[in-house]
Amino acid sequence: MTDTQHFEVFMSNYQDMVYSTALRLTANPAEAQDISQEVFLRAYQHFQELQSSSTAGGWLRTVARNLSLNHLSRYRSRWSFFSEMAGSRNEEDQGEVDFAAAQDLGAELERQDQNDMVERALQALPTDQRVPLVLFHMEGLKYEEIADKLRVSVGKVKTDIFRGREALRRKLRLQIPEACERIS
Amino acid sequence: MNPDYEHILAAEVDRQLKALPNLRAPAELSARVMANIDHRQVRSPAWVILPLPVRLLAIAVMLAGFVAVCLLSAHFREAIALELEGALRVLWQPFSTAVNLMGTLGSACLVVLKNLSTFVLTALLIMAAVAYFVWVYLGTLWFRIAFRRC
Repeated sequence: MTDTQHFEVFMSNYQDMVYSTALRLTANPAEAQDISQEVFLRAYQHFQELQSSSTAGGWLRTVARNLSLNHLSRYRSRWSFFSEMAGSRNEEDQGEVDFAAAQDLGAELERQDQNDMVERALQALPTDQRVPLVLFHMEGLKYEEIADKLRVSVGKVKTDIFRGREALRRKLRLQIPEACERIS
Repeated sequence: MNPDYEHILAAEVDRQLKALPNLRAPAELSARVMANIDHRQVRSPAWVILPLPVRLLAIAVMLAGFVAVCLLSAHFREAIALELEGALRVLWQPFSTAVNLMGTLGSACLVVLKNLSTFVLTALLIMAAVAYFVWVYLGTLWFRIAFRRC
């Protein structure tokens, strides 16, 4: 096998993990795909070392995380310029959508897998709640590390994470009653 | 806020999120990456893809060539100086033609300007200044809005 073929195998082993990391942080499939592509292009430049490294997965995950955060910080201001104007209205609208979904909860539960619902609930969270939540629970970062990466105070990180958990609980209570019985 | 509630909520959210499997990457991702790698390989200079021993050998050959040129130039200094003088003269000719042409154009412009009235000249200057400021400030404004950072 040539180097390129080895790399193709290497990529197939890690592409789901890299794409998931990017998608959970950006909540945008097209951006997640662009970031994943960039991660693997960088990996290709270091393929000689990564090929024999036992920490290749960790390296890829860190690069995917950092590129996603860079991407978010680069486009945050442009994104917020438009989204903040409709932000409060959207939050009100989200409740209505959830109630509508709750009416056919039984059918929804039958149709959808639990993980799929959690995934959709997570991606529906606002960026300032979703990103610290993902970094804390899924990437295993500490509050201080998240604050450092997002360039905000530790207090804000804690508040955003708590709000994110609350928002997730509200969404999942409507869709996964047994999970919320354990909570409340 | 009840600390127990916060603790249980955190544990439950943690459990839910950690249970999520990886999402399936789009099928075209692999093809896109490999196409990009192929494209880069085609565009990248041969030097980058050469193995290290070959690169070292190439450096050694280039150094030897450089030393040889230095030695030869010391040996045939006068002949080389004559050749260089001739080459410079040939190279200078198109440049001097261009300078002459620009001088002629400049003189023609001056003649035209001298024949224009003061009113027309003032109007032209004002129009140029307004166009310049509109161009610069609109461009700056667009740039600041489009690439606004935190």
